[in-house]
Amino acid sequence: MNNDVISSPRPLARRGPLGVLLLAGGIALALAGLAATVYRLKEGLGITHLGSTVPWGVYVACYIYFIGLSAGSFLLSSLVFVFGNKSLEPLSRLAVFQAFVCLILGLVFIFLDLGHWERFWHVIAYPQWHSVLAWEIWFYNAYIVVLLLELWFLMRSDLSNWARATGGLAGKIYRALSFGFRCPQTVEEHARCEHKTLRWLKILGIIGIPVALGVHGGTGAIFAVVKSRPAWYTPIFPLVFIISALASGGGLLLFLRVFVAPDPKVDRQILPDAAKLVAGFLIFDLLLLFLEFLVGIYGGIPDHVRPYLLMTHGPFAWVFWGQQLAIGAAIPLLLIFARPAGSKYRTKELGIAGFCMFVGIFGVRLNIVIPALAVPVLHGFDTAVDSPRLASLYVPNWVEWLSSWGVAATGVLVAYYVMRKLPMREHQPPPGGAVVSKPSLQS
Amino acid sequence: MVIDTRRCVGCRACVVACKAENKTPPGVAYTVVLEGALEPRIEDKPLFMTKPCFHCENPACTVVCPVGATFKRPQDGIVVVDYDRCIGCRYCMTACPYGARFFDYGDNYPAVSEQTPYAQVPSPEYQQFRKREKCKSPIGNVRKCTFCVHLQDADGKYDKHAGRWPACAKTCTGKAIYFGDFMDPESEVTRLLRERPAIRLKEELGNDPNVYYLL
Repeated sequence: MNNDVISSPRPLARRGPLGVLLLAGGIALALAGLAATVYRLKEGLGITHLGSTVPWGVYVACYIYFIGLSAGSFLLSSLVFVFGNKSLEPLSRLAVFQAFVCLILGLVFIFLDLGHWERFWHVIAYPQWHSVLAWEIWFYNAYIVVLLLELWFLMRSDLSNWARATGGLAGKIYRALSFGFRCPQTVEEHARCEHKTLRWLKILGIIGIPVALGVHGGTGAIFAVVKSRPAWYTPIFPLVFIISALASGGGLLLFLRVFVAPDPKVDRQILPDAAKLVAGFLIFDLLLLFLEFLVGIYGGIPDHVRPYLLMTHGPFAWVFWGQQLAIGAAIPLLLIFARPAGSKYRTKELGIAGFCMFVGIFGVRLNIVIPALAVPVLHGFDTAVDSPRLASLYVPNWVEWLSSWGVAATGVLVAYYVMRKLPMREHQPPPGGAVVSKPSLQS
Repeated sequence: MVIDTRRCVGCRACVVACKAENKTPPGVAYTVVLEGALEPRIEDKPLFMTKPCFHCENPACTVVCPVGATFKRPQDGIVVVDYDRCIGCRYCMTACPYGARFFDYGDNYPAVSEQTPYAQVPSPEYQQFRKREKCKSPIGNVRKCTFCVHLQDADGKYDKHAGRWPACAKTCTGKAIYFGDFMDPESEVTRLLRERPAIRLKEELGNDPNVYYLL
């Protein structure tokens, strides 16, 4: 019997004492952070440390960070659906789910950054088509549709099986989520259906690739078209966004697979290759960073060089050297590539490497947004009027950090809860351990 | 607008006059006086320059606005902000190469926060006469110099002698700020540009600013 039952022993990683601690901490952070978020929305942006010299700060950094995580993991999943990559295939559901959650988080952050958040609908109602930001809104809308459709195609047969195997409210929810799809019960029909699903996923993947490139490359273009900030104004910028998205999205995917939704037997097979692929994107990203510095510093145009000097020698140089290069690049590359010959990969190490990558890319995001703005557009502008709102030194205050952490923690907790209730791996048994039999048994 | 840096003594009366006219809050100054934005003069005298919005022919700020809340008026070329349309995303602030845009974070001078009679007088900006209230526009919006557009008459004309003239130019103690119509070949500003060499800031960007500096 056991051979016929498609089951993994554990639906998702069981929570150890550390997990419980993390969960409790996460809930506390989410509650405190949501209070800070409500405070921010009620009081306006005046309670932040943003100003008129540095008008964008942590919220915008979080926005491009999460949009990047989303686009990166989506593009990795399309390697499976469109290009037939096998090593990433078991990760594809997780990747698409992660893409959806991160997109929503990114949009929450840009909402949180608006001076008049109650007018967010203006971007839909009064689009101004010369604005890259207006294009992006429509890319995001199209992207949400692609992601939801992909998720449905990926999970519909498991969901319909779960709906049959589970009773009560959960069963009803699974039925509703399968949107009337019924998994065929004979082997032939099932194979035909799977084939159809794969074809749809390929079509959606093909549509999704330009959309996801538009989503994050376009987010890069928001910055790249701004000629008043020479460090942003480079055609390499949209590409930097896409490549760093692949590195951070891949890193998060490795981490989640290893520590939250593992499948040890499969993981030992596929994760080393997946990790090398993601590390390849990280190396590509470092190359782009080198090119940016090379061209900018070689040219020596003062306004172009100053943001780089701030990054590498300013008060937050540790973000560049420590978070971005040491944690975000050196450690994961050592973990993945610097190994004694012939030694076996431990999946935990790959998960940690992934963790370092997505932590490091957050430093990249901060260094994209802030240093370029912290250099005043005209010499002396920041001191022309005696006001902290014109200061070129921007240090985010507790409201900004707490509300950001709160939004992120809430997103992670909700996603974690939903993840435990959804078939994140193929043919995973429903929560509660009910057993779903292979279709072959009933043919 | 033409600004004669030889006549500017750096007294900042223009900054104060602008604040009094438009009732701008702390951290919002439609014009600021810069020192050192340009190289000092050969004879080592200081060079001050007042810097309002340049109301560029090709503004970099208006094209990036996702909702069309800021635009260049077709009739007179003044770049304005529709406070009721603006969502406060601040993209225009990053795009302006001249630091002409300020976000209204809702800060107040004591005269306003303590609700003195001064706080009861609304700002005449855009002839909208808005009073400062928490989270109500223009708080949460991007603000900028309007060339005191509210002082135009119904036909869109300024009148220097009637006092309907941009506050900075009206106040300037050294008479360094000249305001007028570049389309009119006989206007004071056009004559000045004909007679004296003038520069504009960051001309290489192609924004084509409408404020010139005489050195």
